[in-house]
Amino acid sequence: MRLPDHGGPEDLMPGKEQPDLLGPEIEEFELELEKEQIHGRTALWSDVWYRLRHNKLAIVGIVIIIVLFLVAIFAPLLATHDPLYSPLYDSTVSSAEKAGAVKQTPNSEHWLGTDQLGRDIYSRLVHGSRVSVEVGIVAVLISLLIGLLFGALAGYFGGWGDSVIMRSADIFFAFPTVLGAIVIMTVLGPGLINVFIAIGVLGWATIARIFRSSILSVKENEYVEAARAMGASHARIIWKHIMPNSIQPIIVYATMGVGGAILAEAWLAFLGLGQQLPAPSWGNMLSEYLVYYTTDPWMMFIPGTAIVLSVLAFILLGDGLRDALDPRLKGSV
Amino acid sequence: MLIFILRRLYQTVIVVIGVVLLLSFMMTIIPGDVAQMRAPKGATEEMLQNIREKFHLDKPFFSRFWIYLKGLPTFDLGDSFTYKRPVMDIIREGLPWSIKLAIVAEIIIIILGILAGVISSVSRYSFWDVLVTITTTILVAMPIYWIGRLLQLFFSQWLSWLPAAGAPPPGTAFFTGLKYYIMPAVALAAISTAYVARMQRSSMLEVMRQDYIQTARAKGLSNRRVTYKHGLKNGLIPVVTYIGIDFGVLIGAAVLTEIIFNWPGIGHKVYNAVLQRDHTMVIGTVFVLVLIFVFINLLVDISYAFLDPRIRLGGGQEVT
Repeated sequence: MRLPDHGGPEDLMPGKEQPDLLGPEIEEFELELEKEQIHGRTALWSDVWYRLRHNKLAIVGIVIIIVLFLVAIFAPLLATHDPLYSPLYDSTVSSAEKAGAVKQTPNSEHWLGTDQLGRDIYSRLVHGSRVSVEVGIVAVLISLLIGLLFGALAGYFGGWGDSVIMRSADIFFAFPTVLGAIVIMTVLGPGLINVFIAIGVLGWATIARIFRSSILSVKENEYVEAARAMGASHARIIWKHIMPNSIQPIIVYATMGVGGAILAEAWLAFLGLGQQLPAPSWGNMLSEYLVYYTTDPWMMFIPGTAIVLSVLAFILLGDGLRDALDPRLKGSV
Repeated sequence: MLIFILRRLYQTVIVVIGVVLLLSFMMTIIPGDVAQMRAPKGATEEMLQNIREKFHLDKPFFSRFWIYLKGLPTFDLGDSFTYKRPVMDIIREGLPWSIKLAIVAEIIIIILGILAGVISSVSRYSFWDVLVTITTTILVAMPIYWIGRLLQLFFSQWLSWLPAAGAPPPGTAFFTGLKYYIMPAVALAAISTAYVARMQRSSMLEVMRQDYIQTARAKGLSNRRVTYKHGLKNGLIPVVTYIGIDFGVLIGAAVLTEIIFNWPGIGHKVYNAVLQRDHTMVIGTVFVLVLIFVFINLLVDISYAFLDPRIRLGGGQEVT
């Protein structure tokens, strides 16, 4: 029975007790046991995939994420116009045409209409998806790199290093994300690279804390002791024995973190700190179009919906992964 | 209990010292020529030199670090470049407005969030439960300033029920003045309300599975009494802590909300400073806000320990 081994960190669910196995859950576990005998070592991931496949919301999330990635990768092929081209700055366009070129509602030439400078909104949206995907992935990778390293050091070795790392994490927790990001961005200056850094650096503390407590619950297991007795190095023990059994809550958190980073790009752009115009990002499109809410409210719904759908997709996938990785936590926030 | 409070106080002091050091450091490492950034275009070398002297930019790293650092404990945060006044004066002006808005928002979060969570956990999988789940999931994924703009679009632009933006002008009657609070407070509360509702729902579902609930039912208590007397009381505990942690989300959201609604709080003032890259103003304001956040968390944790013996007897390990 693998039930106790693959638990999340105890502090994610304070006071959580062993679940009573009732109804469908017990069937699921029997099924799992059966599959484990068939698949051997890869059973965990095939189980996760099995459970994920039966979670409709998670599938919706996965589909949206795949579409998002495809759009970002093939943006130049999918765009119908130059995202930066504005007829207002084109001397070959007559002034009468210029007046007609801006804020067109969606039509056959401009699938999602044109903005206040006559730029094609669809093409800007397609190119802007790249920024969201980049921010999501790079920022989360930075958080993971720092967070996992410090979390592992703190959890595995303990001692004064643990205290120093966890007290530093406390200091980072004292900064609400928006304020932390504002400080970093005003010091470093606006721009996309600095957005990666700001969001990435601010995320490490949570990951370190989750990973640390996850390690603490795993490292007392007998198989870790066995590995140590056999003379395995610390690096090998962490990488081979502790990591696979304590990474699950991190996977869930990181998945949702990608959504959080996409959202963060949006509000940093709103503060004028994100991707600098005229290059498009969903965040700066939304904040540009917000201005016209009295005359052309439809404009802000385009980047707004794109942001909400992508963030939602990562939340749904994260939710689904948590349930799939650890059925015990099903239904918790 | 005393040990718990002392330990928590000690932790808070460490955090505050860390925050002071970190912010002073950030204040000192700004890359590029700050004087150039702040001077008007075509400034002479003499003007630049004046600016450098005024903001201590001509001094070496450690003395700048020290000048800023020693000001913080007495709230001497330096002069704002954007507003040409001491940062603390601007904060004093803006803070009451921000606090008033935050209080109204917090009331909305607590009442609406807990209510929605309880309703959806009591009638699980009903229409209301599904509605609450869908709404809260979408709200969490929305940029907060867009929520604000949508409210303005519906309630001000289309329905003309509420003033689009701004604070109540001086001398407005109480109820007329309240109208100005509704939209910004709802926008500010939206995301946290969604989180609280989700927390409350899962916490209630968790509690209602416990043995003592079954005992209460077996004693023959009415369903209502079991839910509200036995269930809610314990189901509230995680939510209460969460509301403390969530205050950070609220502070951050306040900056964005105040900009959209042109609210005269500190968030709005920080925004102008951010646009000008006015470090003194931004870092000073963030310092004050972080202190408030840390202090509120301390209060919440202590009151939480009074509520739940498991916490104070557990030696004060933080619950994330």
